[in-house]
Amino acid sequence: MLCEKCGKRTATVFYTDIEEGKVTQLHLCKECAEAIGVTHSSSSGANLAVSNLLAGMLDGGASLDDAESDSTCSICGLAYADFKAGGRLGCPNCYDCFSAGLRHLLRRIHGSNLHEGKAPVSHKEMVDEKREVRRLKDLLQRAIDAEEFERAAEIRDQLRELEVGPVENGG
Amino acid sequence: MTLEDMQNRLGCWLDGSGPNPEIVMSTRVRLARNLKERRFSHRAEKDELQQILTEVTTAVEETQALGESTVISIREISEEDRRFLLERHLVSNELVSSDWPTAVIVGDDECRSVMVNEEDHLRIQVMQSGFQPGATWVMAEEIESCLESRLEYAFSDQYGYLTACPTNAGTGLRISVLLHLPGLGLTGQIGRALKGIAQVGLAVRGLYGEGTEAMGNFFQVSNQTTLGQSEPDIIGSLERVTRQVIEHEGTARRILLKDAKPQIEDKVWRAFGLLRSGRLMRPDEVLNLCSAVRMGLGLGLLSGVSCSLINSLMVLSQPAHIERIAGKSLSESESNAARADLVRKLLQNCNAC
Repeated sequence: MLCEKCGKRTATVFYTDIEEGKVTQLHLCKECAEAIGVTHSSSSGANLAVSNLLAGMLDGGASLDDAESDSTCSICGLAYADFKAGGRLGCPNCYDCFSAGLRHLLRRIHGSNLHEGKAPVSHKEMVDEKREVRRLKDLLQRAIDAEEFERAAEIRDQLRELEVGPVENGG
Repeated sequence: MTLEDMQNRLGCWLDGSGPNPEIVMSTRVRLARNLKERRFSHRAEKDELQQILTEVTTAVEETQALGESTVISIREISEEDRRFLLERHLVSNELVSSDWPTAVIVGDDECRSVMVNEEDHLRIQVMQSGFQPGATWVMAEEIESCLESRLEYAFSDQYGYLTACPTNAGTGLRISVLLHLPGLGLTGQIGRALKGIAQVGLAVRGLYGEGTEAMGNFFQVSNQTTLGQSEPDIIGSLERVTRQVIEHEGTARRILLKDAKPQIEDKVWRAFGLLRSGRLMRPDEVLNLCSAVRMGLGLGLLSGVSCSLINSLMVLSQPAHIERIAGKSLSESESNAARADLVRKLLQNCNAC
């Protein structure tokens, strides 16, 4: 098969580009692929792609971006602008410092900004409890929507128990 | 275990065992973790990285998380040896090209490893032969839990495991299958299949990771997102999609057998003949011929050659392996000659029929 760009050389690279959900596929020769920045197993090329992508996503959230634009991580000193340019955070604390922008960014990348997976043993109890609260709140809303008020009251009591539970134990 | 020990044998993930090995060459799980209250690798000072390296290495050794294991410090090995590890899928480009203290800790069977101070402090990796997403995940989680007894991971209740790049945050889980799809390739359906895979939110790459080159109809399919779903859900969706791809590939292969058996048989046997007789072989040539022979094995058009032998040819014939086996650096034509010699030697005792 000939390269779809130059039409001269044999296509050796199969390139899939996904932009805003639109998939473009091209059969390219090595030269044309390199010309548009597609290289084989090149880490620098790949990193560039990721950081470009992130920068694009961050730019999309301009209003949130403004709120963060001057901030700097209090622990590692990374400036938000540097994160935007490089696509990498400096330390775990950056997730707190840049929280407003990151919540938005994570949702755009993953479709969610809430962890649902495994947790370390030291966090497990807390994480499980938070998940249970979320689950019950969701059920409560559904019961209210369906006008099942008795059921809603039951769920509310369960929620109250969960939320005040630790205090009672503590007292 | 030294690199010398490694060069003449292969990781057990290439042994052709496990379910559907003719279509799914291997399954890989990678978990990204960072240590609590430490800067991520690219922002940390050398001393801090050295300290992290020591901490992680000690934890792996003391917990025996990888069983018997070997620490390979990347700074202490040559450029060629770094390529050698890349060809074995044990390290990433990023790990071997950084000039800070990095290492890979490799379990004796090469199925389990931990990269230290890559983009994240730990990249736990498990590879298994064939299609084994569930079992591979369980092995990776065991290593992760085992190390948790010595190391405190950076974690947030909201965002999960915290990683240098937000694209890995949450579970830090990347699961991928290495698929061999010559049937879809030859019947011209591969473009549509890959498009379908991309549309359901999975990523498709070429054989050696972050490139895009489709060599020998080998493709890596992996999850794109890591946050908002539990690990079993992420694994489940990749498993479901892969099952569909396996089914389509099977159908394509049956169609080929029905409509073009003589042509396919000819292609398979010519490939085998070339591998067994060539005197100068480029790496991509060996890969493409291996792809054809592998398909022949899957279709039952050729027997007497094991899938694991073809898998090993694909790895052992890579440039850095050829140089290591030769024990010196080679020019391109010397390398092509040595490669052809090695391939013939490995195939000489096969009673292919």
